[in-house]
Amino acid sequence: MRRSLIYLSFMLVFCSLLWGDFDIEKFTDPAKYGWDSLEEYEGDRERKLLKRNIIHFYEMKNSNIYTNILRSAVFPGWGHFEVKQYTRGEILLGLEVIFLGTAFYYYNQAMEDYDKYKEASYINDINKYYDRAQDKYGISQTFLALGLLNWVYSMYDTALVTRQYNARLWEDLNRKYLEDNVELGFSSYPLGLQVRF
Amino acid sequence: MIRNLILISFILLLTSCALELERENPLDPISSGLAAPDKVIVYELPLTSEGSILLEWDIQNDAVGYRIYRSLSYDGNYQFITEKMTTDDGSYEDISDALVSENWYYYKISAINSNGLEGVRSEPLFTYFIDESTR
Repeated sequence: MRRSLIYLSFMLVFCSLLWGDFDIEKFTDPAKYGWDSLEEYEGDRERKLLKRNIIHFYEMKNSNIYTNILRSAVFPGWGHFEVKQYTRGEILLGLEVIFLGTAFYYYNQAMEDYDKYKEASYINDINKYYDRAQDKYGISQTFLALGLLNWVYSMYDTALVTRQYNARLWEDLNRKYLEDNVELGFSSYPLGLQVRF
Repeated sequence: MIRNLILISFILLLTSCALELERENPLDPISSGLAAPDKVIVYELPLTSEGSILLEWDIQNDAVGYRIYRSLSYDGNYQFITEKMTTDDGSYEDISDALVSENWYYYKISAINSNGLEGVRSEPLFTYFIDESTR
């Protein structure tokens, strides 16, 4: 049954070629698609293949914004290191360490004074230790708030620098491989990318 | 986005400054409503005291006892020496072995109420101590 169907469809095609208005030259005419010549068609095809390879290369090398934001959420500055913004990453990380370290220090000091306040029975000591504890607690909370702000800003800045990095990567690839006539292709062995000059 | 970040940071800073520790001390007058005893009025000491140092003060109605502190200097650290639980005796004689002859001694006294809350200490009183046995 299957063989009969194949035979029948072959016969139909063959007959249509024989008796139809099929012009092979028209069919293979490059001008039909806007190309003036076969060479132009082949050049255009090469360019399209190169662009496809550039896209694949870009997708391998670019940095995912959301992954980077998550990195900075875990560790402020980590996302910046991923896109080679080392100075900014170090500054943000350093600030976070300073803010949280200071907050922790003053919190400990505040709790020491607070313990003295809780045990005091002399009216002046009660007021003195409470005021001291409250002042230091306020400072620790302020630094904690600054640390939180730095953490939020780090994530926001990571998104910005990642976008810039990806945009720069795309521009560099296009400039290098499309304008400088450098070939970029895929090789099967060893599996990966080949760059030919 | 920057404006939102600035607004958030301002709110965070204000909130952090407004956070207060709880007044958990049961003797804290602000949280418990207790009234602290008044400052004790102590009678002036003689310029020189021989053999012992006698302290006298006005009895307070709400005090159940008094604490006595001693120092070797006017602005120095006043050490607690004794607590006298009494409601009708406003005196204390210091005959401690720690007293060294020919030295100035400074005293402060405070009252304690029935809750154990100690009031403000008195102004420093001082005297020049001479040990009779060393004469």
